[in-house]
Amino acid sequence: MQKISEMNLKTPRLGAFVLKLFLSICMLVFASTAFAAEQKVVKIAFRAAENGFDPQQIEDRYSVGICENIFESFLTYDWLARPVKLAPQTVEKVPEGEEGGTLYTFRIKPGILFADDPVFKGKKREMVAKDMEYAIKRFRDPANRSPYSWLFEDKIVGFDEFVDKMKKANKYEYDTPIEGIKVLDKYTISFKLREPDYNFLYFFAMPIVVPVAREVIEGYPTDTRGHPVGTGPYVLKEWVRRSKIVLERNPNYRGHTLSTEFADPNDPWDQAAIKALAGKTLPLIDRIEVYPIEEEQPRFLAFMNVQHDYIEETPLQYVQELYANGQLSSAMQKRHVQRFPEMQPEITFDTFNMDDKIVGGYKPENIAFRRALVHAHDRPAEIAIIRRGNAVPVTSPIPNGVVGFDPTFRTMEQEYNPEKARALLDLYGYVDKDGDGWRDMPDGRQIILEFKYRSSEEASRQQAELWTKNLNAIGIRMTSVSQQFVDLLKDRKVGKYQISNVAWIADYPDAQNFLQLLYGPNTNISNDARFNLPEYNKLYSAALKLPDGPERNKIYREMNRVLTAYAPWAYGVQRLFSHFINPWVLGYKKHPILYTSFRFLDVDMAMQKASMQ
Amino acid sequence: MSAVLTNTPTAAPLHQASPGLWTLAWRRLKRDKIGMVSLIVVVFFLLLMLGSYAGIVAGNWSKEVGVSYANPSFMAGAENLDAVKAKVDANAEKIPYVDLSDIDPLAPRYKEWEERTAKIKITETPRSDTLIFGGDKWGRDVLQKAIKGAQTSILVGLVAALFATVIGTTLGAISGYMGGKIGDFLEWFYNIFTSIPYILLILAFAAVFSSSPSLAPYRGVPMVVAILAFTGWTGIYRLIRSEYIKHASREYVKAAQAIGATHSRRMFVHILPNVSHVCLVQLSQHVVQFIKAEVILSFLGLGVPVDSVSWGTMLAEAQSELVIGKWWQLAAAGISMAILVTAFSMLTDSLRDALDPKIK
Repeated sequence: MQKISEMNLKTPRLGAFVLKLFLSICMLVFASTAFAAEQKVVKIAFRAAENGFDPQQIEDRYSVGICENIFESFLTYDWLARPVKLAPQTVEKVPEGEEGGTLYTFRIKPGILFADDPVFKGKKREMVAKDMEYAIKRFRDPANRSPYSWLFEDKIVGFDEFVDKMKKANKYEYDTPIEGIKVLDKYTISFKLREPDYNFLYFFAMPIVVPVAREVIEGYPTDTRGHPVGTGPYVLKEWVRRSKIVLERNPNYRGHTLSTEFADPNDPWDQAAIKALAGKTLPLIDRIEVYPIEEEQPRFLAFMNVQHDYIEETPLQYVQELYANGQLSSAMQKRHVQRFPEMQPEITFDTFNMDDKIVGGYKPENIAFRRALVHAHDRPAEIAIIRRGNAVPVTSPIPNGVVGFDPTFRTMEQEYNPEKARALLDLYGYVDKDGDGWRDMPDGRQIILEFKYRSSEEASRQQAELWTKNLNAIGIRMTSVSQQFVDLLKDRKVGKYQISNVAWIADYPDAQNFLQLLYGPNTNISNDARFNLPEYNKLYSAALKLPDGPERNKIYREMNRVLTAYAPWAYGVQRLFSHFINPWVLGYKKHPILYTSFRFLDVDMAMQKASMQ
Repeated sequence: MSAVLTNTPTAAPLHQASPGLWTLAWRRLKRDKIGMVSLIVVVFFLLLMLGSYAGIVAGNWSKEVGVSYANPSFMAGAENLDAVKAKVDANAEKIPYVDLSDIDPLAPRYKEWEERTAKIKITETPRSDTLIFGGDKWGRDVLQKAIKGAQTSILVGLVAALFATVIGTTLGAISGYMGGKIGDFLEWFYNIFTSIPYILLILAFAAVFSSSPSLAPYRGVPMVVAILAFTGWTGIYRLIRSEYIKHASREYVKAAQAIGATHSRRMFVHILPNVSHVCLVQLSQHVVQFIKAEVILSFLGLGVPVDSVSWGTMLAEAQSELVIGKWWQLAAAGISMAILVTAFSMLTDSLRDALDPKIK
């Protein structure tokens, strides 16, 4: 890109211009082919388009996935340890909570450099404690509208007061100190919390809680999303919005290694990763090309036509083409493709708007109505037909794979049972009052429910179909509206919906990350159900102050019971994803919390070249 | 002799009226074999549509009569997805249920609830393994779906074409007949519409319509009709306008003016019948175009709602089914659409030939 814009377009003589153009194209072609011959390149597709790479402004998984490679959080997860385990990344060690879990001090390793950027004016720029302080403050700068501002709300001593003061002054001063965030010296920063929080360290393993250089943010004030500058292994080389993202090695990066301490000796993936990567200075891949392809079929076909190195989260309706009855299809066996199954720490659910005049409310008849809808929803059909059997039903908001998951929690109230649904509606007076053949509210109002779903996803549409069908079967009318993902998120946030389908994946592996979605004070931030039950809120606050253990699990069980009774959500499933990997991709292992695997990957270039288009 | 004289046959031809435009056209059409076959096909589809509208055919399209992706009867024996569902059911864990009675606000009426539940029995009809032309993912009969889909698609095509023709003809008549400032204004208006690529224009309209909350009750079929009518009138407008410019200065219009006919009378009572064959041809051409456009809109998810079916939604579903080898929905929707569209186009061709007085 750079080369073409540098060309002298003002050359007066056309002949000379054409000659120059020709020569530069020749050079460009020559240079790129010569260069490509020695570069290790990985090409893959993302399921959805990215939004930009300003860590403190984004929330979608795909943009965050790119940030994982450009920025570095203080902590990260040990790559092979299962269940996941925190490990230091840019700090010397994982800090212990002091003062009863309210004080955390991080010591940054000296000498970590940001990638080069024109704003640094040719000088090397070291990452220091102040950069993290700046980043944390950015989360609550109204200008950033961070969807993750809740991480630091009601959390750090003096932060809320600071934000209030700034709001009154109508500006946001980064130089004003905050009591609870102390930069002790160039490399040391400490956080003082209002109350103990045993999940606080997990925040520092999130790829959005990362230090950023103030010069960069202020140097590109209108386009911070397009100018990510971090300390991580890769830099953003090329970005064609919503169609191509190219990452290349960061020359300033110090390198990392694969820790094998917690590897499972019986896991073939772990052993393959160790064989391919152990002892080497990573990363090994020089260039990564990511193509966001929202439509499922083309993304699948790109893998089938060997245009991509691997496919993650293969659309569930196509999985059985590649893998059925416990084995790979013969075509895949011939290609020596491997399948990596993954049950991610996620859940899908249908959320009811608790403020709505028909599906909302906390009175017994309101609860009965929601519970009837839940009973009417044919989840076995969803699993068999929409998910093609690649899913298990969930029984609480806490999925398998996060701390606090309770495998013994099973409830009748969330099971498909249309007879019970009808009986319950009859019992509480939701019967046909005006003789049009459809049920009405006990007070005579008509019921026409509206289901909002995401437009570009086939499974979402099928979900709408299933709900409509199931509710019609028990005498309730439902219409459905499709919306673009971004608009849908917005409408849900402000409560402009009745019922909608949602999927949530863990930001960090603790039940709190899921239970906060129903915590009353999180309404308008992350609590789309607008569920606000004092009983539940109290339990939530109590659980927050406890470390993982039987005592906290007891509270979680109680919360699950309350949610089952009040039914602000109809629980969906936990999907079993299949990732398919071509044989030349070495050391592949998907991490359950982190989204991308580029940093721990190698390719057999000869084999790749022979097979790929 | 006298008897012979009274029986003179010469008088009859003198009194016989010469056949009108429509009679002649019908005669010419009858001679056109392709035209007649097309007409029969189109009428057949229209009858099918009326039948399905009245609930005589395909009334049960939404009933799930087969297993998921039931095979077509000519392919019985191929594997289907039912096995998957059975496996899922068998895997259900046998852990005791959690008791909620101490916190459940519904607990006081548990007993009543149970009693009522016992009285309700939902009988599920047994699902068949094969259907005539296969089943879709929910196990609905694809053939019935195609018929029901025809109803939506043809209805949308016809009504939208009718509206577009009315809009195009009215504006074209005003512009062509009046000319001057009004004509210029309408030309400008027309240019705005034609300067935007057609599909893009449809999508823009669809986006505006579907995001406006005040239009929410009209979502679905009425919205698709409106979108197509508002974007599709331009071609008709242009043709009618040129016809009106030509006719406005003809003697019969001048004569009408001389006996005191008003402008609107001259436009719609005198000129319109003389250009109506153009309208008719345009109408049928647009039916075809709009059936295709509805398919595109529904395919893109901007068309009919999820609980109704059109050929477009069938094709959209078929997109992912094809990869897993379930081709029958695509075939059913594709073939019926191809037949109707071809027949309608041929008919339009024949109609144009039949209605053009210059062609003998």
